[in-house]
Amino acid sequence: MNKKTLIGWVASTIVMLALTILLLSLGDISLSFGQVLQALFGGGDRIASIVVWKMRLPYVAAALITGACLAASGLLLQTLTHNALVDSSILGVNAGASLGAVLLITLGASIRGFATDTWLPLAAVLGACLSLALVAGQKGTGSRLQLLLRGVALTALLNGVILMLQLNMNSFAFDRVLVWLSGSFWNVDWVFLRHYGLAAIALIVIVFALIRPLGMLVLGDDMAAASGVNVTKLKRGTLLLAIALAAVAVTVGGAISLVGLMAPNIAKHWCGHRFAALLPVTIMVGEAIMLLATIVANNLFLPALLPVGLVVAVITMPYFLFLLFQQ
Amino acid sequence: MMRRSKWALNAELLVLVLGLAALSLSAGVHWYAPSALWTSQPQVTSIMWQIRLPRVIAAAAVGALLAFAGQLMQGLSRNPIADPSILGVNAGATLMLMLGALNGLALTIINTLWLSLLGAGIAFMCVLALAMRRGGLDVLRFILGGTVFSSLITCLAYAVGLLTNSTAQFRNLLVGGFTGATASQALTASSGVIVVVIIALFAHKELSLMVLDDTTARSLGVDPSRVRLLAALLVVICAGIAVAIAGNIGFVGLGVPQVIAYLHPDRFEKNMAPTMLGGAAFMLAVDVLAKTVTAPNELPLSALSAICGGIFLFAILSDPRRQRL
Repeated sequence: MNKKTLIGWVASTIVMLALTILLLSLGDISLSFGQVLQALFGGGDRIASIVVWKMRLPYVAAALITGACLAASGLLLQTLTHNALVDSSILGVNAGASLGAVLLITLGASIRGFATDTWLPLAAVLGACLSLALVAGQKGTGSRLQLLLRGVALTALLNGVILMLQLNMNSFAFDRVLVWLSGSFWNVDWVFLRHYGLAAIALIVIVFALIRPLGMLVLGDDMAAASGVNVTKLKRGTLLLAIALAAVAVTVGGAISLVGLMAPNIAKHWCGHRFAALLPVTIMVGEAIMLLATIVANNLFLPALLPVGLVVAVITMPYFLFLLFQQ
Repeated sequence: MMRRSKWALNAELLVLVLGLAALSLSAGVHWYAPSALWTSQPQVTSIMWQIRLPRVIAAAAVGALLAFAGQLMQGLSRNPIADPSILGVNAGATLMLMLGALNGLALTIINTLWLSLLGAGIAFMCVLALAMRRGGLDVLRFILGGTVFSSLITCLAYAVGLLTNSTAQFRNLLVGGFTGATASQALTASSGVIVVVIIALFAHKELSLMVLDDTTARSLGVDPSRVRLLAALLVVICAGIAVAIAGNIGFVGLGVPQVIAYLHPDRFEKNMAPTMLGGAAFMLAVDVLAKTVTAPNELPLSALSAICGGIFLFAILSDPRRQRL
């Protein structure tokens, strides 16, 4: 491992931890770093520990889950398509998962005793699969620009449907519309988050287990095949992983845009293109972006709270434009 | 496709627009025949004259403006995927209107107009600056950069609305619609159409040369950058007026010019009139849907047109005959 990669790892971890503590200490009741650390490890006064554990830690968890999932999914998709301008939100996967969730919630509201929460991840995964199949599944239309534009077109279309469903349920529920259009932590209940946290960890462990063959895939299909990897199978599995990761992120935080695009590209600056080095840093950077956005959304405009997705958009979209401008 | 004569197509479209206008006049919570405009019941006539007629006129005019803006942009960028809403012009106007209103400007017709023209102009300049290269317009940057820029501006508009607790106030602007169209708005929109048509008539030669490459245009004695400036100005005027009247409605300018070009493949300037008529017909049809499908609630118009436009855009992109983009 070279020095630059090591610096990348250390730096991204430190940034991530620092942002976590910052998020825990800022707010209506501001706590000192010492109080936060004490409360985290079981000590400290009662108020501090309630604030940290009950009010702020769920946001940290939600930010970590969405950040890690979106970043990992973005990196996988970029590896598969050999295209640095791709992620789950550009390809319409997030919008598909969102629409799946919205449809389920809309239907669930009209059927009594329907366990919406149980089926939510399935609906999101189905929506995500369908939209990716529509965007990437067409034969003979392989141009890079067309793939991206189809994603953009599908996102516009699906967002229209979401807007219609949500506004028709209640004409003034803009906050709820925005959850599924641009992303927001809509449920910060511990039980809810625990399930998705576990799912996220399981998926990311699988990605780590695939580091070696995926590293070969970065070098090209031929290289991967020559080193004894079953390329077709690997690609299919990776695609499913990327979809599942995006779907988990969307069920927790709505259709958050472009984190999966920004994180891998920043990580590449620090540690080059080697997949094994890139993956952990990408995940850390994704988490850092989400934590930063949560801090801004929850604190900068008090007493108003912003949906975190809007802040993410303001951070990541200019970065995308910058990348596009550099190309 | 059988080639139709220009006049036949225009006449057909005009009949379609008038028919849809009549339908839109009669549609609503209560259905009245268009002849109710001259009925003896004062309550009904006032609904027809003060609510429905302005709405019909505004919808037709805005549709015409947006379709023409789309045609201009497609000519300007020489590619089929361009539209003021895709490229952030509409979003820019929306954001500027919100900012103006929140800074204490009363949203009178005049204020609305200049604010949204200013916003549209700034946004379009940003997108063009992003897309310009030494060799001319870079299509990838223009479309992809434009779409992302557009959603960035839309997110900012939502954020501004949420922070100032005014999303309800700006609902019509954010989701688009003709719900509260007034007589003065209808008047503004239709005078906007007239102004644009007059400019287009005077400049139709130049505009038709826009689709040529720069060297050919120059050899015909036209300065290509002047033509582009003119077209850009027209786009800003069209989109600005449309947003000022109806809020952020997208994708009208995407499909209509292409359907017209398919029905009647001809030079740019010959397709201007059918495109505007087609846009008016499309907007009227969508508006009728918006007010009837879930009556007495109204569907958000921007969502409806995004669905139509998204399907259309997706179909273009998946068409195997259009590999070259």
